[in-house]
Order: sequence, then C-alpha cells, then structure tokens
Amino acid sequence: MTVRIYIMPIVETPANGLIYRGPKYIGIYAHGMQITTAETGLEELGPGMMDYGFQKVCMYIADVTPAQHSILSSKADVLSAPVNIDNNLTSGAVNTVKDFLELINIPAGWVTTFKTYRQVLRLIGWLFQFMQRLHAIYPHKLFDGQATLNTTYGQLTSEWQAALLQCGQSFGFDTSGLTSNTTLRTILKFMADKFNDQPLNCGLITL
Amino acid sequence: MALPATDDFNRANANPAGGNWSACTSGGNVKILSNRLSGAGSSDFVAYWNADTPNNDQYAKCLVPLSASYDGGPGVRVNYNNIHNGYFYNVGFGSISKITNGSWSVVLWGTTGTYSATSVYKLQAVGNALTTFQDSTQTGTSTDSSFPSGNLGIGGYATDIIIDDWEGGNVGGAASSILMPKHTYFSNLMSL
Repeated sequence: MTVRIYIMPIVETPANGLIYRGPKYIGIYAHGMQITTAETGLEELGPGMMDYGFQKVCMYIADVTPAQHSILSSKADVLSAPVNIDNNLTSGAVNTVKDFLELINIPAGWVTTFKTYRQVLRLIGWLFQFMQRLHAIYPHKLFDGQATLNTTYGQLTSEWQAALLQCGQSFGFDTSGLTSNTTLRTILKFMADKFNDQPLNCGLITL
Repeated sequence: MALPATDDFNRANANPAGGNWSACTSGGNVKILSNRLSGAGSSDFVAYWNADTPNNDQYAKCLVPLSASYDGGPGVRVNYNNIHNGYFYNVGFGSISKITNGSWSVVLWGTTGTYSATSVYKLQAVGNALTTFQDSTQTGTSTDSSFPSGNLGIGGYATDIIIDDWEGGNVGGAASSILMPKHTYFSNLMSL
C-alpha cells in the first residue's frame, strides 16, 4: 500500500433530500446505503476528499494498492502524482499538468520545471481551501459554464464580487488590489499565494 | 449560559427536542427519547446548541452509545452562513463529514480507534484544522476551510444515531469534565 495523490472529478448524487458528493470511481456508502457504486477493484477505498468548493473537482488522497493505482491512473480524467512528490516536474509533466488543470478551471500558468510536485499540490490545495470558503459564503458554482478563468472581476455578478471580497478578507487577505479588469485566473492564484506556502495537512499526508 | 455547555438529555421524551436545541430546517428534526438525543425523522439532521455563541476555535463531544454502524456524532461550526452547514464526526464510519448548503461530503476518511459505547467522541475545529478524538486519543486530523465559525452541535442520519452526555465549548476554555476538587486546588496554590 502506498499513499498517493490524485486530482479527479467529483460525482454528485441526489438522495434523502441532500446532494451526496464524492470522488468519481469511489463508492459512497452512507446511512447504511450505497449512494454510488465504486468501480470494480476500488470498493475498499473511502470517499474522503479535499473538494474544490462546489466545483466538481477534488484532491483525492488514499493508501492504495498497485492494482488500485493502476485503475485510477488509467482514467483520462484523473491526474496522478508520483509517489515521490519532492521531485521537480519534467518539462513533459509540466505540459500535461498545465493542460489538465486549466481544463478544470485551476489556473496553472505558474507550473514550471522549477517546482516540485509537492509545491504544485500544496498551492492547489490552498486554492481548494479558498474555494471551499467562497462557496460556503455564496453557495453556487463559480465556474458554472459561463465564467472561465479569463472572466474578469468586473464581469462577475455583484453577488460573486461581494463573496470574493468577503472570502479573501475572512482569511485576513488584503483585497485592495482587485480591479474590474483582474481575471479570475489572477484572483485565484493571488488568493492561493496568500496562504504563504504553509504546509497543508491533508490527513494521510502533509503537503 | 456559559461555555462549556452540557446536556445529559435526562428529561421527559420530547419531539422535537426543543429547549436549547434547534434543528437546521432543511434537515430532519431531533428528539429526546429515553434520556438521549436522536434524530426524529428519516433524513439527515444537523442540530445546534442555541443558548451560547462559541469562539471560532471550538469543540463538541458526546457519547454515542448505540448504532455504531451508522453515522453521526458531535458537530462543530454548524449553521455558518447557511441553515444547513456544518462539520460532524461520523463515529460509526470513522470519518469527518461536512454538509454545505445541503451537499454532503467526507472531509476525512479512516479515523483510527475501535468503537466503544462508553467512549467520549470529540470533534474539534481550530483554524482550518479539524481533529477527532476518542476519549483523550487523537484519531484523525485534516484541513477544511469551508466554515470559519458557527455553532456547537451534532449531526447524523434519521434515528440511526443516539447521543448522550453532550458537551460543547471553546478550545482553550475550561472543560466541565475535569473540575478539580477544592482541596487539590488549594494545595496547589500552597505549593506555588
């Protein structure tokens, strides 16, 4: 068994008057009921995850067997980190990671061969933390099919603008530099950077 | 009332529980049954202690004497910004769950420890760190930043979870369960 880190989709399943959210391919068992079924071979894995707020994306960290890892890493919509996350990304990996992250609305222009996987995952993790708070303040999906990373602050609704400010300020961040032309790409990276590269406790591993 | 708050639920059956307990309206209600607290319906419930406003760094703990195979337990930061928000310790499953505006997910899976009907299960929130304890032993920890504040409470599903001897308070505040006898207090003073 090896602790591994994945960036992968979330599935949302309505039941019992709630929306159950969990990592795709991993079954959700709650209240004595199977809410979603696990992919064959992944039945033993639990649904704990670090979500990207209400976006259907999460960081999934699990102690997996080689067979379980093989199943997860074979999925086109799953990005697997290597076991040793203290190595730098290769140039090939940089392209793969950037393309993957941008597709799921995670700004990735900052990912370079000068970064280790840990540094990349840590910043993504803090970005997820920011988005969790943002969506607890304003419970809608920021990227709802209309907004993109290139959407500017000025193009957002007044509710989103207020939520972004409230969220940043709730973490104690200075948001005075935000202008109408600032893109979500810049805002989200800016907010994640404000966590100052602190170690991030993710349960099974600290990034 | 002052924190830590406690409730042993030793009173007449009541449905809903009422008193210092408010159920979040989008979840099920809670009831007093046989001197314990239980869900009252057939859906998830999150309920909070309405008599005190805790600090952001807070804890809740209780006995979970029945139904270890189901989920629920002490809750923290309940009702932040939305009637149906909060974290709770799924004692039976060994996990920390959160409900965000009616969406349920698992923050941490695989807390350690062996279930015991006589153990005190505790969920603590300090900053963005969530930590679980069984009696005095830490059983899990992870990070989630959804709710920076909120009320003390409980969470669970339907009538699966039965809670007893609940306590909630501020992290760093006095705990009602470790009051020292007066003679110990004075003897300590004398030795200073």
